[in-house]
Amino acid sequence: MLATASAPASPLFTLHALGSVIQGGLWLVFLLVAGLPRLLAEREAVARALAEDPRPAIVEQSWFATRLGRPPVVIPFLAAQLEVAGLWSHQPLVDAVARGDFGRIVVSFDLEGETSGGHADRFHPVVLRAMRDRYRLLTRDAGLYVYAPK
Amino acid sequence: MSTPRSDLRARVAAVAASSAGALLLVVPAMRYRIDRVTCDAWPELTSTAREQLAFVAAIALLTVGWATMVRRAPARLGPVLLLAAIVHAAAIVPPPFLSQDPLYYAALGHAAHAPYQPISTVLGAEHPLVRALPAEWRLGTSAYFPGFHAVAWAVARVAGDDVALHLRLFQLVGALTMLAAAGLVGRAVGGDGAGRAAALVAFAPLAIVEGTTSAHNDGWLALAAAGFALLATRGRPRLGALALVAGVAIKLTAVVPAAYSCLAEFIAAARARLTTRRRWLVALTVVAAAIVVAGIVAAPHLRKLTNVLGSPRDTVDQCTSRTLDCGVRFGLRWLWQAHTAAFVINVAFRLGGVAFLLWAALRGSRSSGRLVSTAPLFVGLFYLAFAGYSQPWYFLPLAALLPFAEGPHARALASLLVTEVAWYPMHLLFSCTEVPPLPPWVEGTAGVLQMLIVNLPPLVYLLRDRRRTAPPWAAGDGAARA
Repeated sequence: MLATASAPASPLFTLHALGSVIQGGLWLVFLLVAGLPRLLAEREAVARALAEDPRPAIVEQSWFATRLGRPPVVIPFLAAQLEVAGLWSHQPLVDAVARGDFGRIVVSFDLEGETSGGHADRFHPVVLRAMRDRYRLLTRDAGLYVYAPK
Repeated sequence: MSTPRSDLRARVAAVAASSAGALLLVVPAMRYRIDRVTCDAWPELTSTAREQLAFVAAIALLTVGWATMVRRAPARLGPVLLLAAIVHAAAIVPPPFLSQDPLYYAALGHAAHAPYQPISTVLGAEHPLVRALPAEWRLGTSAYFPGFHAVAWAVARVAGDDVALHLRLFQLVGALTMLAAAGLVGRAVGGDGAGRAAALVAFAPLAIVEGTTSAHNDGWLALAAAGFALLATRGRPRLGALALVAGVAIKLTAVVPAAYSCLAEFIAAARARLTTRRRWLVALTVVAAAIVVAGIVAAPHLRKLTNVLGSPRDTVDQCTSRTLDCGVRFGLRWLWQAHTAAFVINVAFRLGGVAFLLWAALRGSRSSGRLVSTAPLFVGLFYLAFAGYSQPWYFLPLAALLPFAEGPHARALASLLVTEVAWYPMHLLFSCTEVPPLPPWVEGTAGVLQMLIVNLPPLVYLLRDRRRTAPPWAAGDGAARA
């Protein structure tokens, strides 16, 4: 085997491994200290919101509804992207929103404000418009916005 | 002090440990086998503790077997390859279960005449091999090149419509490529180190799990890398570069090692024949020509290139959580909605990859020895740090180059051949969680743990081996320290 004794090229490798480990550690601390409490608070907030009305609900983070035994009406990201790709029609969803069929809509952004980033990927503008027209802000709980039919 | 009897006992123990590890993979494989289990029927998270534990135990056994065999391998190549063949035969017992790529290989073999048309268009949506694919892949086209299309075509001729047989044949091909790579590397090293070098390649957990059980076609790139090592160590570096270029006939990722060797050869030739002033002129001419040619060649594939680089308007990243920049980019987007900054970080790391390629090629151009000894560091660190999207099987060429690694980073690179497969239990838990989705907090934690699993052991070895002058497996006991 070539046991070349040469100037080591490992500083970059060490820097990368060290950077990755430090970053991983920081992320882990952040997720445990900040992420987990927020997740638990949001979970309870959704439980409170959905307990007030037995009708189907739209929950942006649909796993919160799923864990309560409430089947997700829509998985926002998939639905929005399928609509954009022309593989699914959101018209029945828009109609249901316009009729006020959903007891609660729980999202993590203000429907009246600008919808950007990940939220914009999750809700088609047409769906958002229908929500704004038919729903009003009921309360803000643990950073989540809870809406009810007007 | 080793005796012939204790050596024999150690070798038997090594083969037993590695074979047991490979066979233990049957436990998770039967629960997650890709030809039967889809996301529609993914095992419940809370019901798979036995499979996760079995996987961890399997990797531990494979690692023990590898380390033992490398320490006590016979000097001769033949016996090592024979023992390795036993282990790789055991690795064919568990069906592929970690990646769905072999399912695509199987379908591709039947569509090899039109690989760049949507596979469901070529074969029909009702073809059993198309139906076996994940839904989002059925409209996909080949990500591979004619060399692999020919391999897939040959497998398809033998396997007919039998999905499971396709997978077994791809596993057999994978085992043969890994054993052949080990054989070539053994010959490259030669002498008393031949057997040990071959053991280092063939018994590596990554070679067994990704090369044989998961049947990834990157095994061919490992073979190309072994050919490069053999030719370069015999004073034929240009032919070695050609061996790596031949890997591009399989898939695009082969461009990485091929670019390294070709660039190193070019620099070496320029250094030998030209004055300093002319070297700069030639270099500038070549860079200009390369940009023009790359523009012409890359233009039809610009969309794929821009997918890698992304755009300032992106709100999500295409990267794997085990890479450093991926975590930074995710943080910028998630915590501060700084999408442009995330894009800049992405571009900076990709440019860093180009700079690293130039640095490695300059270093490798000094001599054939340097060319071969820089290659494992380049391949390992490039896929780890600069590729952005980095899958474990991309490291298969590293397995073939590992025997040539230099002392300070030899064990760190070796540890990647374990850690890159050690995080899979989390992949098995979370790879089908889009419907219904899990909170990003859970997936984020899994990603962070993957990053730590992959990078912590190399970091420990890098810090401990700062002054190591030779790899531990070098002839004459590599524990020598300066």
